[in-house]
Amino acid sequence: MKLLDVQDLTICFGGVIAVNEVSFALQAGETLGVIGPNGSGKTTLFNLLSGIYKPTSGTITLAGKLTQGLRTDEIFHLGLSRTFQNGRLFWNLNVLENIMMGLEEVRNTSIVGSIMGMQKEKDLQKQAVQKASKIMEIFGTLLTSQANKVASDLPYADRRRLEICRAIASNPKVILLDEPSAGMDGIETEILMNDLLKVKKALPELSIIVVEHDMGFIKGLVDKVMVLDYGKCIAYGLFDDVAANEDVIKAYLGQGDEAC
Amino acid sequence: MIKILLTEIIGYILFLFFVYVEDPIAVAGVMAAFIVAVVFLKKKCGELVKDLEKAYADNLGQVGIIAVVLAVTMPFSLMGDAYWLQVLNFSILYAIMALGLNFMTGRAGMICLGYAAFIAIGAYTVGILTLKAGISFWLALPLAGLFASIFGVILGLPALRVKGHYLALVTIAFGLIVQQLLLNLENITGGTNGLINIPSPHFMGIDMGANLDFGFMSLSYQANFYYLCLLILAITTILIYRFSNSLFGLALNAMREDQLAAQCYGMNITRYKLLAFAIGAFFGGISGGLYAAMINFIAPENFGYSMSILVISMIILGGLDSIPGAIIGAFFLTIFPEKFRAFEDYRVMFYGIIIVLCLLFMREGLLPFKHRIFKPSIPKGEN
Repeated sequence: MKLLDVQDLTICFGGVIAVNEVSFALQAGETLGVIGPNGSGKTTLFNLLSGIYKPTSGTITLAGKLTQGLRTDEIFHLGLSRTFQNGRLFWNLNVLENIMMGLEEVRNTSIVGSIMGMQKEKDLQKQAVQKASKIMEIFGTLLTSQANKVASDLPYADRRRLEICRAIASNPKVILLDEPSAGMDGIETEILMNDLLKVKKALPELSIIVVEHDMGFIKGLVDKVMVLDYGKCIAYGLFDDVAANEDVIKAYLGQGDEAC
Repeated sequence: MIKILLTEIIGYILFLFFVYVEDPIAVAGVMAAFIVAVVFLKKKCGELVKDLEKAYADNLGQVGIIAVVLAVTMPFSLMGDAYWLQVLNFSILYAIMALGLNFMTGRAGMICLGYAAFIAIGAYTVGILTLKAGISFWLALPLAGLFASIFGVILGLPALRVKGHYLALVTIAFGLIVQQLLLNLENITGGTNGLINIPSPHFMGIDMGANLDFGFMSLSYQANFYYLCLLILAITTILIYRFSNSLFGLALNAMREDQLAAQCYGMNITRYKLLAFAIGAFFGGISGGLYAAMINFIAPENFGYSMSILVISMIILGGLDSIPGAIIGAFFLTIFPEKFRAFEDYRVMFYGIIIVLCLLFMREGLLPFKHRIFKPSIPKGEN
């Protein structure tokens, strides 16, 4: 069954067609790379998928449900979570709390119950803390050793890790990673790549869509690639096929001999 | 335990001393000495100060109980002095307001420059209900909070679409609208004349407008209200503390940090914003209700823009999102100007200076909110 099915997705801002009749499908456990030059509509596509923008036309079906007219938080509850290009962490919350914000417990809490100091609420809090601590362990002690630090005090690479942790905390079906390697050097990118592979290994059912500039980065990570150019999907398929595609080389990579 | 007891008693004595010093120049001297002492202590005995901070943070229950016990003896220490009891009553009322506004602005990040409107609504609710409908004060007071909450939601609805500076403008407008309504709905609110002779509440047959007689000692009637306000301040503090230290409080904090991200992580922003407005407004309404019953007279000009600014400056001085900060800020900004009554005309300027100085040099306020709500594996919650 298709987990995510996107049909003819289009959005216009005034006269500009930012995403133009994009269609693709994603199976559970599959990883899709979305590449394209600046302004090609990658982030806009993510904003459409997560419900921040409403499409002008076209449909998105997530886990068998049309997401049309749903709010961002409702789409999140259907099992889609995301990271942001410029790392929108909750800067003054600590690492643990940032991850907790991804958990269902935070939204299931009863306000009256918590001011009455009910046992049920205390248990829920304890449970949330434990769950969040558990999720951090995916990156060994890198985050657990800094769990009490405020997010803005983290080194850059750990912020990215924290974002990934927060995104997978809710046990989502799909996560959208918006340029996770932005602003990283070669070594950091490699470490991040390993981190993502760790996540994939730990959560085999999780589907990932990752937006990238850099085709080299996603090479070992993705099953399929989609190339956007001026909002249009100009190639879609297995990585090697797409990388060899003439249009892609021309539109995106510029010169053939520099592909990959 | 002993540390906390000692420091609180020292604070209490210092406070009494401060009250009994009358001359403005002497007051300025005392303040200067106090500031020098604090700076000196922090420099020379940093360890001791840290120890104390930790002791306070770990034993919040004890801190609260000792503070309340000391506060209960205050009217006796003041020999029932009516003037100073009244000043203290105002401080407590402002502390309740500051806690409410702090929850809205500090915790949830909803800037509100029209908080006086909620106080006015609470005050007029109690005024109208007890004066014109003859309803008991004890029923009218929760209703005052409830009405203020409803208005909080009404303000919240247009405010949903704006944030930052625009939200600030919307709330200023809201404050002005409410004040104009109070002026112009003369049939209900009495217009510019306000409401006169609001009855004093009765508690178990005691008229709270009469002196509090213990047989061996008689305290002025303000002592009645002192105890009532103190009780309500204690309840408010506990409620706000519990709100803040729950998962709900965490969610509000996240919303303050980044609304879009919070939304993308499953928070129904609309619901949380309205709740933050409703809860913040509730405490404004309650303090307004108390105010009306205590003063027996209310008029629209009491609830102007300057009152909103005053409450904002209290929470900025104390430290945004800090519960002890809000209380200290309220007490300081109510009591301190009383010592300089000779310079009454410059009062608003003084508040302005406080805001500017805080924002420039002390962004986190006097008692900044340092520790986060949840810590790894030891959930702090309500112990």
